[in-house]
Amino acid sequence: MGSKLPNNGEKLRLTSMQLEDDMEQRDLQFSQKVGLSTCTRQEDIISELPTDVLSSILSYLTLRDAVKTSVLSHRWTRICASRLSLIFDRHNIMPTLGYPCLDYKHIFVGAVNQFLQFYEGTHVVSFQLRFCLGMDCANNIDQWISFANKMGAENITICFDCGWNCLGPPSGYKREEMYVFGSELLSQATEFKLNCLRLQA
Amino acid sequence: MKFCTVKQYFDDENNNNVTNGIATTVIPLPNKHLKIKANNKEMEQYEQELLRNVMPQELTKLILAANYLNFKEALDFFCRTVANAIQNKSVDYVRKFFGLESDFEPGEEEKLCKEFAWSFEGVDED
Repeated sequence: MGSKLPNNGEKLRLTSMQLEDDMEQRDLQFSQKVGLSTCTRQEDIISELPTDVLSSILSYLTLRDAVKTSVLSHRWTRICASRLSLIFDRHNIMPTLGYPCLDYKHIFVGAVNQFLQFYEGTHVVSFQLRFCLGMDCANNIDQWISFANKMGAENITICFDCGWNCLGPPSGYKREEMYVFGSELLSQATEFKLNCLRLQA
Repeated sequence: MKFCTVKQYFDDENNNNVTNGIATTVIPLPNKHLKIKANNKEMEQYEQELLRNVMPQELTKLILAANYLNFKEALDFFCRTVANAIQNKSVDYVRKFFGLESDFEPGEEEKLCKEFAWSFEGVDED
């Protein structure tokens, strides 16, 4: 390049070329990172897939990953909101949630309630809950079991042990604080489809 | 059974190169499955390789082909591959991966993100 300074016009042109180069470079890095063979700009590749295929893709994601996709577009919101298999546990809600469960149950319970309010489906195939909860959350738990039953869930699993040994004293529930399951909760469905109910403490 | 649809598919008119390309990936899958059914690690590697060598547009065509051919195992495999590619990723990453544009009004998206803040904790770096 010459020793003469570029005039303004040239300077601007060089800058915009540089910007384009930068963007192409970033796109290329992104493409390489996600393992795409060659590409610069992405076309919409997913919208032509039928809804049941998209539901199938979502069914392989945890609940939290599925919920994130609800932010993509209205169609994805609807698909997420009619998920057939509902699993509420640490892995599906928030793997980074602290211990013991007792101290963080308000976050877990809040998340479950939020999702169930957002839910628009007419039918659930399976409903699983796994978290350390006791009688203090009875209202919520009753509602969740009723919901599962009304949605025609064929499998309901309720486990009050998160699987991480956090129920031991002093953080655990005493016997008298444990949730008591009332069978009247299952009498509300118009059509009884439940064929497996698992309760674990 | 599985391959009745395949025969019909090839008897149909459209036999352009792209279709053949897709078929050559989808058809060998049952044999591949049988060979490495017991070995999950190999399946994972095959999945990674597929994702690296196949452009997302082709992945969509593979899914559509498997769906049309009523080939459930291949369809499940491709759907699982797509799910694995986007798990624990940020919304921006997924949007870019799919090339999907938002159809939300301004503010709607933020509202959803706020409501489901718990799902956005601890995502992978882009």
